[in-house]
Parts: sequence; structure tokens; C-alpha cells
Amino acid sequence: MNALTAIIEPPPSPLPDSAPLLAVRGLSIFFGGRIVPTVQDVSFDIARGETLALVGESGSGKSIIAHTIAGILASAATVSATTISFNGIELAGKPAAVEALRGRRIGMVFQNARAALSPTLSVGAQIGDVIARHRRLRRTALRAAIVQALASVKIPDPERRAKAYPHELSGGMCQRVMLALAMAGEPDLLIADEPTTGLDNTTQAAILDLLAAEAGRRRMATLFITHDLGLARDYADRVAVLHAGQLVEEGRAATVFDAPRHPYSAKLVRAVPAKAATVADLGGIPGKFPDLSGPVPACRFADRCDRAVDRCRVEVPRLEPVPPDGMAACWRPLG
Amino acid sequence: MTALLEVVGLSRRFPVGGGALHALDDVGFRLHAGGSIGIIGESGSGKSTLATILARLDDPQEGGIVLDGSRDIAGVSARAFGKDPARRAIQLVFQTAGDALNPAFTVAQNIAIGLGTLRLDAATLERVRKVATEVDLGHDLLDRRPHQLSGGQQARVGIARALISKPRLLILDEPTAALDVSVQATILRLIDRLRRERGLTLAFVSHDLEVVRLMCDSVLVLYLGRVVEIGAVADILAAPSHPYTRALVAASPGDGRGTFRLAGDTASPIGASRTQCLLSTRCPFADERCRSERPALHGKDGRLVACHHADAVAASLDDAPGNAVR
Repeated sequence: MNALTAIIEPPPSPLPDSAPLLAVRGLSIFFGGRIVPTVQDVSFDIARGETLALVGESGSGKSIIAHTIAGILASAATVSATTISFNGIELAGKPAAVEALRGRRIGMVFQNARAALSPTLSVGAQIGDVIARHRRLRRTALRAAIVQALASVKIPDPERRAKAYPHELSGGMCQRVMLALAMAGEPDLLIADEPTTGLDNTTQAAILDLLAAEAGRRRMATLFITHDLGLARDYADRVAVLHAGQLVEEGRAATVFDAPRHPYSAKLVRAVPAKAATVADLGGIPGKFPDLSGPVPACRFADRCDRAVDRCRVEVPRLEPVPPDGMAACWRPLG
Repeated sequence: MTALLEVVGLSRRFPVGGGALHALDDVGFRLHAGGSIGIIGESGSGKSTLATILARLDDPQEGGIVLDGSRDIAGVSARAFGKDPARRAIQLVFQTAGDALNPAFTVAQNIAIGLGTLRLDAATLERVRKVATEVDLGHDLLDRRPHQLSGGQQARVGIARALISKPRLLILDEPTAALDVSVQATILRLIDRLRRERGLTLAFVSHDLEVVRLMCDSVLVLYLGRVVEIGAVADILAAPSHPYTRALVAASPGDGRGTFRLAGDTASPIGASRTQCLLSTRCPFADERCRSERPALHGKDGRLVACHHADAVAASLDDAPGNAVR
């Protein structure tokens, strides 16, 4: 190659680094013939190496969004979406496409790992099954890969633990095994659905440290689902707050935690013990969670919100930019 | 000043294949009337065993539980304690309220059982209604069964059951562990209000230091059945002097990610060593002395701590970015 061609030929253009790995647009999910969607018009992106926390109370729809992306949603549900694009591949309405990616490009970790693992197979055999699905290895190489997978999630004495059954391991150890299973396919996107609920804080921190290290090392994207905004603040780059199936705020984790714009996010922040100086600073969320089997106000938080006006009940607020760098879906965002 | 509760040298061992599990080993503390102590540690640290023994639902092998400076109730067996006059003075709120309620009984019966009865005569029903109001539980729920209630409502029923006999000491065993943070917030505020209105003394078991900071004035940190640090909450959170306490502080969510971690998981409590510090297998400060001599609790800055390197642990806080605590 001479100097002239170097000038004339444009440099090779890799996919722009800023292009999201996962792009979800206009996702709505309906259950059992209900008219009110359980998840309504939700859109978000996750870039490579980025962790997005999906935060909300029980029933907010965060798990069913995760299950939809992973293609494991119960068949009683009807999904409509403008697009669910993964690395440029369209997944919306294409179960075969999702099937081909799950366990390989898209990994998943659930809450309560002991229940999610098979009780009748050793953990090594379960990890071996996953590795064998993706790589053709001889027996000794496979055994080494299993031990390596267990070691990578910091399980002490991995050779011995590979022979253990889930009931012989602690909850934290089972969660690590599940993480090793998800990581065995070297996924580009990890969906972690409350991966540490029920564990001690110390074990929780150790597991989430591992996730963060893996995300950093391989530029893995993570969809982290939690009800704890404090945890999201510590471990996510960005946060998307979900209330009764509506995405109400999105932004940098620290910004949302320190200066929430949507009244619902503000209530969630007030529930975090670490944020309160005294118990009087703690606040719950008033009112009842909306009953989605009947009619609901346009903004589903309106009946629980002390800032609601008539407009909130008739016109759904769209996600609009709010300073400094986030988005909120509210007619009267906090200033 | 006489303590409402003085606990001395409490030990509880469970015989298991190949040795004994020391669930509690020489645990002691004082709790003044109107005071509140947080009991904190990981799973397996013995905190629920301690709560169960304090509530006199289980018996220790050794030690004393002195009530009002006069009467040692550790000698009364748990079985006999059901008929003891002190039974009503000490009540326990169980972990996972949903499992602790009887599914066959109505909500009203589940509350009345705190008085030792299932018969809802007019006087009993009146008391049930009164305590239900106190815990913000709608009277329309009293005829329901526990499974028809939300997690937060079940927690309120558990608290009402404990309060109906007008106890002086309320022991709470992770009362919010199964709840969302938003529901936890309302239950913690409720407990705090009841404490002030009724002048209750609290022993609050939790795995979350931030919850203990909000609810208690002192804290007892347990590791494998032994007290590793005990003192005023504010002092200990400001400068944890035991590596285990420090790991708990660093792991508490919402403070920014602390970086101090212990290696591995809790060691097995079965046949645990009597001659070394039980944390020495996981602790970055551990040296030869920790592996050969078990540290005793000793005074340091107004608290008690069981660590050979307590000074070094406290001093290292300053030069560890990301570990800043309040």
C-alpha cells in the first residue's frame, strides 16, 4: 500500500462504538386478554460494556421485560414491539432468532439459583452441558474448562466443587455456579434478574463485583434487574425506573439517585436506608399499586402522586430530556 | 442503672455428625429500658439463634438472661416459659411473616394467639381491633386468611400479634428481609413509631447495617456465634475496628461501592477452632498470631472489639478510597 491509496481509500469503518448492543423500542406486553398492557411502550438501549439497571417495585414489569428479551416469556402473553434489536439482529416476533442467541450471545442469571439449577446433576455436569453446546472439546479439555469456569467465579477448590450437587452448596455458591453457567457461553449481553435477592450483603457485593469485573474485562453489556435503587446506584452506569409497566425515568445512576426528576423515582430513593439520616427521612410509597385488570389513569402513578394534575390522568407523558442528562416521563417533573 | 436485660456468657451448641456446631459462643450484652440494640452478621452467624433464645423459645446450654436486674430467666426452660409471667413481657416478631402466620386461622385469630387464645369473645376482639389500628391494618382484613394479604400486611399482622400482650421487650428477627425496599421503609417507620409510643425496648436482628443505623442506638456484630465488635452504632459505623464489621459496612448498598472484601465464604461453624481467630482464613489483616491465639473482646474507643489488629484496621480506613463511611 502506498501513500496515495492511503489517502484516497477511506479507513475501514467498524460499527460505531456508540451504537447500542441492544435497542428496545415501543415494547408492550399484554396478558390473558387484558385491555390494559402490563408493560406499555417501553424503550431503552444498552451499549457494549454498559450496565443498565431496570428498577421498580414488585409487579412493575421488570422481570417480564427481561424474559421477553431472553425469549422465555410465558405463552399466555402477547408481545408487540417496534423493534428489539440485538447487535443489528431483529428479535421482535422471531422466536427462532432469540433461541439461537440465548445461552450463547445472551446469558441469563435468575434469582434463587438453587431452584434454577438441576438438583439431580452435579454442578460440573451442568456447566459441562453448556460448554459442550458451544465448543467441541475432548473429555479432559472439557473437564479443565469446567474447573476453569468455576474458578473464574471465585469458587474455592473448584476441582472438588465440580462434583458437588446444588443442595451441598450455600446460596452464594449456587449463585456463583449459575453465574459460571451464564458466563460459559461468553455472552455479549447478560440479563441478571435480581441475582442476589436473599443473599447476605457481603455475598451480594462479592457476586456483583464479579459481574462488574466480567463486564469490564469482556465489554459485556448487562441488564441488571433490582428493586433496590441503592444497589443500582452502586453497580449500574445507567438506571431505568419502571412503575406499573411504564418507564418513568432514565439517566445516569448517580444522577437519578442524587437528584431524581420523576416523583416516583424520588419516592424510591427515599426508601433506601443508606440515603436516610434518620428513620423519619425514610418514606414508603403511598397509595395502592394500580390494578391493571381494569382502567388505569394515563400516567399510572397519578393516583399515588402528590404532584398529579388532571392532565396526568388523561394524557400519557412521554419520556422527554430533563437536565442535566436524563429523561423523565412526567408533566410536572421535580426541578 | 439497672438494665432491662443483661445477657451473660450465652452459649448454644447443636450436636452434629463429627462434632458440635457452636451457634452461640459466650455472647453477652446489656440493654437498658427504652434502648435498642442491633444484632448483625451474615447467615450462619447465630443471630436468629440468639433472637430465639432471648425470646425464650430455645434454651442455651450456658449463660444467663437477667431481666430487670433481678431474675435469671435462662434457667426457665423454653417449654415452661410459655406459662411464665414474663412470657408476655418478651415477644418475638418472626422473619418472613407469611410463614410464621397460621394459614388456617383468620387474621384476627393470628393476632389473638399472642394472648394465648383463639376464641374471639367481645373483649378479645376489641383488643385485636385496637392493636390492628395501631399497626395501620384495616379492620376489613381481620376476617381474611394470611395468604390473602400482601407481604407488607403480613408483616403488620406479625407485629400486631407480638404487641397485643403489651410486651416491654420486642425482639425482631429480620422483620423486613422478604420485603421490597419501599415496603420495608413503611414497616421500619411503623416500628419506630410504636417504639416511641409504647416505650418499647428493641433487639433488632438484621443483615443490613444501614437499617440498624436507623433503628438502633447500639450494635452487636456476630461472626460464627461470637461477638466480634459491640458498641454505639454511630461510633462503630464511623470507624469499624474489626475487619468483619468493616466488610459489612463496605457491602451495604447505596453508599457507593466499598472495596473492602473478605476472601471466600463464612467458614464452617462445625467443629470450629477454639485456638485461632475464626476470621483468620478470610481476613487480609491476619498474621501468625491470629492463627494461633484467639483474640478476646477488649475495650477500644468506648466499644469492645475482638481483634489483634483493631488499631491497624481503624487506621487503614483513612487511606482507602471508596471505603469512606459516614
